[in-house]
Amino acid sequence: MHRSLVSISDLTDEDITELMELSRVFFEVNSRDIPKVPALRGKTVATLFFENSTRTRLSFELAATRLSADVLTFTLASSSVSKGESLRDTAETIESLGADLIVMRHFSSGSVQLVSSWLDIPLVNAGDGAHEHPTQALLDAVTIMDHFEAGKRLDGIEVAIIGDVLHSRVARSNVQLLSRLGARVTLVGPPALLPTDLSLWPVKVSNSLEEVLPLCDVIYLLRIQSERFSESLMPSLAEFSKDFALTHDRLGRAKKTAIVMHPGPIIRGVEITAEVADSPQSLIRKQVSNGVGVRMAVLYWLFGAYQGRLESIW
Amino acid sequence: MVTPVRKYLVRGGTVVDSTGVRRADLLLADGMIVASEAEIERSKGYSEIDARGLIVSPGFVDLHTHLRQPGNEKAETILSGSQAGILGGYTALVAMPNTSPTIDSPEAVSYVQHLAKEAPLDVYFSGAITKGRLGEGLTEMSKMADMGIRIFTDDGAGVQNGQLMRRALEYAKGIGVTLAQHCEDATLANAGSINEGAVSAILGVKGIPNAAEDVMVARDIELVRLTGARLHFLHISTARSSAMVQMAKAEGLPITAEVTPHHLVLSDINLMDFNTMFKVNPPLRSDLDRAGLWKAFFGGVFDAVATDHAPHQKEAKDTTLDAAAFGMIGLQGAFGAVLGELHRQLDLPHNGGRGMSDLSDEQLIHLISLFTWKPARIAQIDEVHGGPLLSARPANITIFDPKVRWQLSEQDLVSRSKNSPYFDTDLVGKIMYTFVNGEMRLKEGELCL
Repeated sequence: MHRSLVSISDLTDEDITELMELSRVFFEVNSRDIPKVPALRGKTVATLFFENSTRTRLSFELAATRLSADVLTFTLASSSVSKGESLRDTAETIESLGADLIVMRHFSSGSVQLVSSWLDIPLVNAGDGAHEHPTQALLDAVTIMDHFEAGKRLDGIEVAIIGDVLHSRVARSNVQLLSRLGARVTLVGPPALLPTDLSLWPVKVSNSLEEVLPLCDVIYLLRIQSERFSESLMPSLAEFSKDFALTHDRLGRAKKTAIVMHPGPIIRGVEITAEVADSPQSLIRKQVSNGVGVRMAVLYWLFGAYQGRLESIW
Repeated sequence: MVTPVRKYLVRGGTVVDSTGVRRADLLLADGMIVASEAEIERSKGYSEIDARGLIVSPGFVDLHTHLRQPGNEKAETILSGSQAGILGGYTALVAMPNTSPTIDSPEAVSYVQHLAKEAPLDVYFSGAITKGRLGEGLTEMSKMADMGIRIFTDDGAGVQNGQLMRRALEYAKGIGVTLAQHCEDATLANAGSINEGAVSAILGVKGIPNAAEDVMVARDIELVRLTGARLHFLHISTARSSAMVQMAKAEGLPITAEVTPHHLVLSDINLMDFNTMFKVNPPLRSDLDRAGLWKAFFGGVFDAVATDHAPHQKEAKDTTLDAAAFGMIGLQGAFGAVLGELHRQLDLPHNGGRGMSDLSDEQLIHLISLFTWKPARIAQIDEVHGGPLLSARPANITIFDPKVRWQLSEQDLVSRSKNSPYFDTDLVGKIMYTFVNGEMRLKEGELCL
């Protein structure tokens, strides 16, 4: 019986704790002079990306490489998808080639779960449409935890997730994970960029960044998906920036202890100014570096190699 | 189909038709009911049907069937869809014109009517309101009306242009036909895949808001007020729309409305695991809307339960939710799904012991009316289908066991497509016999063609 990581809801509380602990082990591995272990030697990890991505794909490929797995890369541009191959045939081909695990990103919500139902090997969701991006949430949670030295929980930590929540898989995974860990999440954005019915979300909602800013410990900015502008969700990027961009002035009105996070890629001058992105309160680069260790943990864990005994890594 | 017409005696059943509920035996010969009396003696040459414990109803009429022929015969044909209809208790189907090519001309009508002669039940057709269903120019409705077309619709999409809809209603009124509207403002639907609500928010799937339907229902009610033309609302899916229809009917406007089995039985909760079988247009709404539809159902707002039988091949569903085709099949299981859900809505006990059915006579008559004489009147085929089961009426009859609980499985489906949403639904009421113009097409639940 294989296990996949499609949604945060696939994980039990114990799984989450285990993945956090395992991540920290790999943070240590990554700090070594030779950051590589033979844990997944002989295994093949395929990255199957139907949507452009740099950091997530590289992060997973680096994670697999550091675990000594072989990496098979599939990208949309060079694939048979442009010749009309179905999602199912593409996925089954990758499995038949001998991949032992697939890391998949796709522009459609639910696509990773669907592919997982067709295959006999584990899948990791690296982002499916506006649905979920669970490894991003895991790396965000561990980054927040370690920063606040919060142990295994995030109780009492106020998190504001700001911007285009409607189209954000990062928001959907983070809302679930951070609130399960005890954080209080507030979504902030203009009504057109928030889902209309949030009755099933454990969140507060605000249309005013100014109102929320002084209260939060974590200021989490989402990328503005400018490719969605055709729907005239907003008059202009400048209009969005006026009310929702995190500027130096605005950051001055937040707690001094507050941290700034962003899943990337950041668009300087739209949702965040350069000054803020590079400020000491910004953990954006920490998120990226932690991402590799968290993805090593996820891959290692999904291969079932972890039996509560870390010596099996070496 | 050319088969010798046989003679039947239907004995011991309970007849439910527009005249009420009564114990009656029926004698069928030469395609007609030749006698309908409390008790008819056995006589030579008549095959006897034991209908004890069964309900004898007029044959069902579906106002909303997609038969996919011509153009997508891999998904369904007039013949395969008709066979599914027989199993579902139908004796008449009204097929939608969104085929390829569209049924939007006398030539196209002539072609499909020719094909339909081979069908084991009566297939009628709706014509398109606009050429190619493009929402631009009106079709030659009068010529098609001369060929027997009584309903015109661009189903699959609503007529977006208000002025064009106004003119279509006026034109239809002049020639005595009915327009049927798929109410959906395309700009508000915004290429969504499922209902916009709590579920779409969780899944991150683009939603279709209730307002997309409601604004066109509101507009069209006002256009009916303006023109005085008859209008039939297809597949009402929201509580608001059903309330508007109720008000408009109370004002005496010439409006009718249908509801589908799936909107009565299922809701967007069924999509929580992205199952494309539940992707349909209009989308399965929230349970709040579903409750609103049942309120309207009990309040007599609807004139028909119509299947919106929409066959799709496996490939069209075996993909992501946004890419999957809209639609589900419904002819087989429609009645059982609605009767089963009606039991749950009325909180009726399982296998209640009293009487023929667990329903009261009024409830039973109301349910059957929505499958038979009311849709037959909308389609203007009530001389042949849906009428009372009396002597000298055509023998279009469905006989079902109102107490059987069952589940539909993929192997049971005779449709060329298998996209049924009812595999996990408890169905109540099994169709046992179907007579089409006096020919037995279903015998003890099995097709006999």
